[in-house]
Formats: sequence, C-alpha cells, structure tokens
Amino acid sequence: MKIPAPRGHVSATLIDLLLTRGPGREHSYETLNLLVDEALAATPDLLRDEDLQLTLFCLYELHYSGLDGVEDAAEWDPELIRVRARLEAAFEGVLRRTVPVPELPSPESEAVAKTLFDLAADDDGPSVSRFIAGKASVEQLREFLILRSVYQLKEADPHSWAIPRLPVGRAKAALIEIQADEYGGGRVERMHSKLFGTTMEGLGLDSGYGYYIDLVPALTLASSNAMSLFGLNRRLRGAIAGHLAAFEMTSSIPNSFYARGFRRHGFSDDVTYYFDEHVEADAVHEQIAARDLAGGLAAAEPELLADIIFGAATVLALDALLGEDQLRAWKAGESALLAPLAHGAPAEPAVSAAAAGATA
Amino acid sequence: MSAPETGSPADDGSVPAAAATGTDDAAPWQKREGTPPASVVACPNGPLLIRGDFEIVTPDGVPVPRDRETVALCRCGGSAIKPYCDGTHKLMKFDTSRRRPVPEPARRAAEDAAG
Repeated sequence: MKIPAPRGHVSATLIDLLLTRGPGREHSYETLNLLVDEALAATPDLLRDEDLQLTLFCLYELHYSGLDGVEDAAEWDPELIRVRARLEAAFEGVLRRTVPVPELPSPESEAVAKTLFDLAADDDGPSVSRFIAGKASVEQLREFLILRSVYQLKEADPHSWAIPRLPVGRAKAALIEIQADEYGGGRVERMHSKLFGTTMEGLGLDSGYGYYIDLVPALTLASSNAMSLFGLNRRLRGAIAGHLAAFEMTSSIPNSFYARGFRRHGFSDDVTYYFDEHVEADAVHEQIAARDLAGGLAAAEPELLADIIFGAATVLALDALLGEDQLRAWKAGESALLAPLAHGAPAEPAVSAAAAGATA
Repeated sequence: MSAPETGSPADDGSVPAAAATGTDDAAPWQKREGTPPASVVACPNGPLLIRGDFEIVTPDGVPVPRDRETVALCRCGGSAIKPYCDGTHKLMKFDTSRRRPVPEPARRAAEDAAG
C-alpha cells in the first residue's frame, strides 16, 4: 500500500522512521514512544483520533500488504511491535469500556447463536443501508464505497488470522468453510475483494488497495484496526470469531438495500453483483458463523465465551458510530470523507474542501 | 469430444461399447470421491442449510444456478432470491418453534390411518 499522508506528530514520526530504519535510529524509537504516550494521555476520543488510528493502521498494514518503500522486515521489528502493543492496549481498553455487552448465555452452540441473533436484531442504530437504498446521490455512493474499501479490498483477511488459532474441530471447520467462500471457492473472479474492486471501477473509482486512504476518517480506520487487533492476537481469538459472526449476521439484508440504491441510479448488474452476491452468501455464512464458529468455539473453549460476545458487540457498536457520522454528514449535504472526492482526479487530502457542499 | 478416439489405434467396431462403459464407470467417482451424501441442517427460525453431494433442479430436471458448495434454502417463504435464503426470515420474525394446531377431525383421521 502507498504510504499515507501523516495526520499528526505520531504518524509523521512513525512514517519517517519506517522509511529510514536502520542503525543509529534508536533515538527515533524513543521519540516515537514518548509521542505515543503523550498522545494517548491527551486524546479526548481515541476512536476518532486521526493521528493515532492512522499510526495503528500503518503498523498493522506491515502484516498485510506492507507499505511502499518500507522493508518487509519492519513487520517484526521488536521496537515497532512494542509501539503497536501500547496503542493496542489503549484501544482495547476503550472498546472494553464503551461497547455494551449483553448478558452471557451458557457456552453451548444454540444458546450462543440465539444471543448473537438477538443482539443483531436489537441493533437499532442509524441505517446507512436505508439511506443508500432510497436517498444517496451518486457522489454519496462513491463516498460509501471509498469508506468501505478500507476493509472490503482486503475482505476476509483479518479473520483468516484466526484459522491457525482455533482448535481442531467444529469452529475451525466452520471458519474455513466461510473463508473459502469469501475467497471465491477457488475462482479468482468470485473473490469478494475482487468483486468489490469491480463495483468501485463501475463508479469510476480506483480499486487499488489503499488508494483513497488519505480521505478515510479515523473511525473507519478504527473499525479496520479492531479486526486486526482481534485477529493478530491469539488471546483474542474469541473476539475475532464473534466479530465475524456479527459481521455476517448484519450483512445480507443491508446488502439488498445497497444493491437497490445502486440500481436506483441505473448501475448495471456487474456493479451491483458484489451486493447481490453478499445477500445470498451471508445468509449462508451467518448460520454457520453463529452456530458452528461462535457456538462451536464457546463449547470447545468456554473461557472464550465473554470475548466471543464482546467481539460481536464491537461490530454493532462501531457500526452504529460509523453510521451516525456518515448520515450526519450526508444529511447536512457534506462529505463523509476527510475531504470531498475531486472529480476524476486522484484523491488529494484535505485541500479543496470548499467545493464539497455544492455537489450534494 | 471425439478427438482422442480418432487417434486411437483400436478398431472401429469396439468404440461405441467402450465409450458407453467409460461414461457409466466414470460418472460415480468423478463426483469427487469422498463427498459425503447431502445433509440438511434445519436452522432454528431460519433456512435449511444443505451440504454434501446434492443437486437443485427445476421440476423439469434443469439445474438451478448455484454458486457455492453449501447453500441455504428459504423456508419462511419471504426470500426475494428463492430457492435461496436472503435473510428475510429475520424481518418476518419467522419462528420454527410455533406449530399450527392440527384440527381435531384431521388428527383423528391421521391416528386411524396410523393404525
């Protein structure tokens, strides 16, 4: 992925360090650690802190596609892992304190599935999908795709970290069954991340991973970071399993609304195929994820039960915050991105904000 | 299709018989050895989840387009993508634990028939 534009002292220091790693830079790590500590102490809202969420996102990205111009070996640089762990501890702390969690069921498959289905059904957060279906302009559809692209262009990857971390048995079989379908069941052209790219291109957007990263607000990065946090830490394997379950359980119906919104503007089946596919796929996945993955894991490792439910509740809580921010912006005729998309031109961070309101 | 046969040194007379046996023998194990027979999971308040070796066809035997190994078939009647599930059962509050009471005459007839 391209190197994002820094959003403050911490991300600027990290990016500078990543590009110039090597002997003699010890003091830069010290500076970075100090800046992280100061920023963590000072931030009023870690979930919406542009500088810190981007910093964490970049550190995680070293484990996915890497960052252009940064050595692959930076992934396991102990100093960078140390910085990541500090940010993760604070981030996890915020999620644990703020995500509302329902009463725990017994650690049996059907009881866990019922709790998760009830949790998803009680979700009465603001509905981005209804807005997309009935009201969104083409420009807002583009913004919607750009926001979603942070995850959707690497769809399924954060949950794949869990595969080797689940015990041999029902939960692991379920995760593999879901993930195989996510990656196209052996057919590249059906890989979900690839289908999302086709949808982006259908609206004249660039489908390169990370192309629009500089336009994506902290909260969207936080949503991606939560998946990486749960996926990359073995101790949180319950949370990543619950996360996937809730993800699948809040997908098929919203995706039918998204498809409607794109059809309303005359976009072809090729463009809506990503959403149409998810209506059908996730109606299958949610059953497997609730009962066999989340329920199966709770039965096999009952001590993970609380984290399974926490991971699921995190999806709903973050989605509600994201929906609030997006709808507030769109209903006010503003961009939900950090800066409106410049037509036809490559994305420029936060410069030409003036023309935004007029287009909506 | 017949290209390999034409190059075969075998005499013409035996070809139809050999071809026929070939297809008959090939069909069962080409269905991927080890694929278990179909199993159907009746998901509480949800669809029927089908795995294994199965085919979905129209009444005329024409295969219904299918994009994945494991499918969920609509059971609430509300799906817009039948025969597949689209999650609508959740909006309908579809409840598989509810049983319609069987009218008395019908129940008596059934009990009589059962002996």
